[in-house]
Amino acid sequence: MLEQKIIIFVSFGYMGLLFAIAFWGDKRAEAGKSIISNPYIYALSLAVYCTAWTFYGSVGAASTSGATGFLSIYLGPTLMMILGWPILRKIICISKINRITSIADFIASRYGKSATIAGAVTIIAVLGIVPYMSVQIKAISTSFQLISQYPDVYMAKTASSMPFTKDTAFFVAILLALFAVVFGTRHLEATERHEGLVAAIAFESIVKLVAIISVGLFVTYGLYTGFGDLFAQASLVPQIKHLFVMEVNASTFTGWYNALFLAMLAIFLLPRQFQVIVVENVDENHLKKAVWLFPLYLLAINIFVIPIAFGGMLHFYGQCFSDPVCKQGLPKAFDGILKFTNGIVDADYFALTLLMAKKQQGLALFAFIGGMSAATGMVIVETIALSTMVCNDLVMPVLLRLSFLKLKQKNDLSRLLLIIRRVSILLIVLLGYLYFHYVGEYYSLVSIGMISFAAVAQFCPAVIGGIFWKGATLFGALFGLLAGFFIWVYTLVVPSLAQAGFLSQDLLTHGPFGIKFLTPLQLFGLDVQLIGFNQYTHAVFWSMFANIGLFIGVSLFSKQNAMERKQATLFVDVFKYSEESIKSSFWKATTSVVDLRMLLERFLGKTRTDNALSQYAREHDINWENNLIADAGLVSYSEKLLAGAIGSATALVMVRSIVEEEPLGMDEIMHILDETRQIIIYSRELEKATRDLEAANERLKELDRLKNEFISTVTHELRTPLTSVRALAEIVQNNPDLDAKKHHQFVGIIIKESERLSRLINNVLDFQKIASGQIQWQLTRVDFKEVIEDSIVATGQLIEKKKIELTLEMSEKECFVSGDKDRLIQVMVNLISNAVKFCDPDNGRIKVGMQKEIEKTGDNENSFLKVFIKDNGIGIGKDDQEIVFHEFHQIISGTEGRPAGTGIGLTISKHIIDSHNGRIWVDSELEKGATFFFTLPLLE
Amino acid sequence: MLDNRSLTGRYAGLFLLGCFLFCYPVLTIFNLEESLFGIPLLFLYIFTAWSVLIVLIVLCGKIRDKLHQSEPDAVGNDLK
Amino acid sequence: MKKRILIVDDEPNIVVPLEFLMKQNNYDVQTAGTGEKALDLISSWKPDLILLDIMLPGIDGYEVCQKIRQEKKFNTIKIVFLSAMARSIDIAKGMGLAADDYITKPFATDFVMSKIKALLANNS
Repeated sequence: MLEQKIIIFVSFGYMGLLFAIAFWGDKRAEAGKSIISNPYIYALSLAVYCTAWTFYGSVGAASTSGATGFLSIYLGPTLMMILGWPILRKIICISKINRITSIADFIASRYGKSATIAGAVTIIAVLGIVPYMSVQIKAISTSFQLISQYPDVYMAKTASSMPFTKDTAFFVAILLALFAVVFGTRHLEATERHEGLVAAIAFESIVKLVAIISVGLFVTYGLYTGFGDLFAQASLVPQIKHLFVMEVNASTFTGWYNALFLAMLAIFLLPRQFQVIVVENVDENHLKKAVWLFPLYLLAINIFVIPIAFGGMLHFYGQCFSDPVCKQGLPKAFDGILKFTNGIVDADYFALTLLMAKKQQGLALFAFIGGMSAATGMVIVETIALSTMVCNDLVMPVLLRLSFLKLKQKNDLSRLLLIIRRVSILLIVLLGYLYFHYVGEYYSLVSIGMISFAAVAQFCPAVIGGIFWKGATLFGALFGLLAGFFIWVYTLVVPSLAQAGFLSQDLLTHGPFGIKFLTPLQLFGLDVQLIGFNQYTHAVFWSMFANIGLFIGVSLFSKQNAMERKQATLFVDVFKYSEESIKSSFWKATTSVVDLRMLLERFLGKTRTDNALSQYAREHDINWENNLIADAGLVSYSEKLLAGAIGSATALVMVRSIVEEEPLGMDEIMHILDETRQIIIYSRELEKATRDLEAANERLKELDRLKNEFISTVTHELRTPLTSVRALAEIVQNNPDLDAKKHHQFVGIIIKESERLSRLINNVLDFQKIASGQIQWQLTRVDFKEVIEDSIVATGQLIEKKKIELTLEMSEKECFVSGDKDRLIQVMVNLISNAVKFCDPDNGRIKVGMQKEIEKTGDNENSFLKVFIKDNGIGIGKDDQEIVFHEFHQIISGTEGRPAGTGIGLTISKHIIDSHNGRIWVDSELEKGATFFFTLPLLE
Repeated sequence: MLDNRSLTGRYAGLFLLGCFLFCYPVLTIFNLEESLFGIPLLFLYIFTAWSVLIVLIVLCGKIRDKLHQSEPDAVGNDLK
Repeated sequence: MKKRILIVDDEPNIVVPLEFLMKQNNYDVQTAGTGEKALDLISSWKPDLILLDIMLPGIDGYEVCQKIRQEKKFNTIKIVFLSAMARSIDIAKGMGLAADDYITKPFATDFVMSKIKALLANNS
């Protein structure tokens, strides 16, 4: 006989231990020595997924439908964890940056921080979780009843007519609720992270794992000699043997995929899972290990489920054959419940009843504690997550709007927050109890859980769509959610209420108002039997169809407001900003107060900045005259101030720009400004400023690069003639007895190279003049034929010396243009000497020509002159044809030819032609010579 | 950050493998009334495939760590 | 036997004084205006030292240096870069290619001569 006192004492002792662990965890966190900051504790905390459903329900499911009946619930999360790195990490990053506190907060934040959708998500979550909550209450109260009647394993069928005061479950619910209230809201301040809680949850995960494995080992190796023996014995009972394989039919098929799909989503969409995976996550890198540790945990906790189920069946079937009532009613296929003369035995509780039947008092008590730890873990975390949502996203927004409460004037709202949370925890657990009391007994643990899974699956389109698709809109998400939720209620909750007698059974058979088309279990006339849909598959199919359809459809046809657009960008592109943004929450750097003040003044104006800063100074007892360095607190404060005016992303970048001494945050600023520019009230002005800044920034960078290039090029070009001059001058000086011929040659070179130097300097000066627009154009009517003739005379010596064959191709008529004759000659000389330089060294040929051309644009006819200079040199590659006209590029570019001259010649020419409203370009192929063209408008 | 794209690809590939291992048609292949080492084939298959999948997830992470270490010092010897 | 020096530069007006200096100091001299020609001469004539410009038409000086250093049989050849490119990056690149020295233009003639003499003295 196990006295009830002992059971209660052990239970309370266990809960006390949880408190101690939580207390210790919190203390350690305060001391800065977090115990939960490691991947193992993180993975264990994820195992809050395994509730009483797992501990008791899996065994029941395994004994009615074999492996496929329960394993999909754990394979789904395994598959999801594989995607943990791409998907969950993204959600974690987003949540850290936006300081997300719950799944409702997450969805709301993504869709423009909408209070409406936050409220909707909260309501769906609370109502969706109620059945799940009832599972835990049912499991604890049933297991408590069972173990307190030890060693009697038969349970009287409970009547729902029983008053609350005589119902164990009612007391269990009250105790659970109080426990959750005391545990979850121990602290006055409402922070989003709970270190002690996570430590306690991790501990509970160890307890339930050890408990179920102990039970499993006892069954497998205590009652039998091992797996082989157990399965061999089981195969002798036809009802068990047929569970060795799955029934291959449409129903197994759809059920398998449905459960797999729901479990994949539940693992991160259930409020408590979101809480432990995302909100309580200390370091996203813990995910790296958790992605395999957690599946490993799931594998371990499931290994003995089948042995326990089969062991239980073997034992109780044996009992059944010797019990007249049971033998009579023994069904061909086991439906989870055996009816004995003295009461019933529910397969859900085999883990307990089998041990009790085998008189294992201590182990049975341990199993009871294991089951309780699974249930309490779920209740605590779920209620904390839900109460945070109810408080932040449902109650407070409403209260703040009720002006007669004058909440906005109050400074300290934390007590009120705490009360709201406590009340909501009580209400949620109470709702769970009511559901259990009126509805729960008609369903097994697993099937009640599936109702909740189907509810939270409704968050999937809004969450997954929200983090990968920028186009998803608030209305899309809201309509999808509501439609999915409505169908969930209609196809799952309504039938269960009808079954419990709250609604007429007629509704299920004939549909509402006799419309068969709308029967909740066969919506739109879907023949569920034919395609193997059960109630859950049917509900999931229609609700997801409506949800996803509306989510995508409405999103495509609705507009986002500025806030939504910003949030969408921040969510979808989170990895582009993440590192910077994460840093921002812990400003380590400091900056000068003056800089910070200037930044604030720019966006807030002088008065507001002064007010804000003096308020900060009062609060922190600071005198700005003595304090020149802004500390981290002030930087954060300023960031928040700025965020109010220009959005948090931009504020962040702006603050970063003065706090950290990185070479250029300009590109980021540009990017963020570009993304968020719509939000800013003076968007037009800012847009223009952005563009100007961007252009200026680009120009500055380009100029800086060009300046460096210019200096290096010019010095290089100066060095070459200088080398020659210096070396030869030294030789002449050191060798007074140099023979006359050599002397003459050397001095000749010195003179020539000096000329080259001065030409170079002139070119640089010329370039400088033209580039800076200081040149005075002497515009006259010029016959271009003369220009060509003059330039050929000027380059004549050069051409002759290189033995180049020059041909001219000109019309007889005069061609008048308006221009500066000397400058135009300069262009021609530049181009011709350029051609000479690059001509084939042995067999050079140059062709110079001009022709009139007419260009038609609409009704206008523009006649212009086209001049060309063609050489047969090495040519210019396609890529370089644009670049040769840029300042100095051609000198540096490529190894294919040593370019001569300063490289300014072509640039100067381009400037001159441009100033004459002409165009200059080059047409060439490598090794096939180059042809330079330019055009000038003709005078009539 | 090292090649996050290829890492994501690797996990996505593993996910597809997982989907394949536990897809209904594949399960039916092992849905035989036979036992191996005294354990019904279907149970043995599911738990073995599950274990293999977990080992592969571990490997996925491990290989990533190695790549991280062998990543050359980006600015090291490059004088440009 | 006279030591052989190969001058590689595409500026004839720089080759002239260098050639004069080398001959005056009793070296055997050949000149090349391009990288290709330089490589031909290195194989056929086997100089002891090369004065190598960097900006050459076709194959540039760096490449010439690299090609020489790849061949075992040329590993006794001294290579001195003579270049107008005076940035530390250019010099580092040149020395990185296992040249023996890097002299920037313009240079003092006796400085160049002393470097060459030192390098060739080490050799023997």
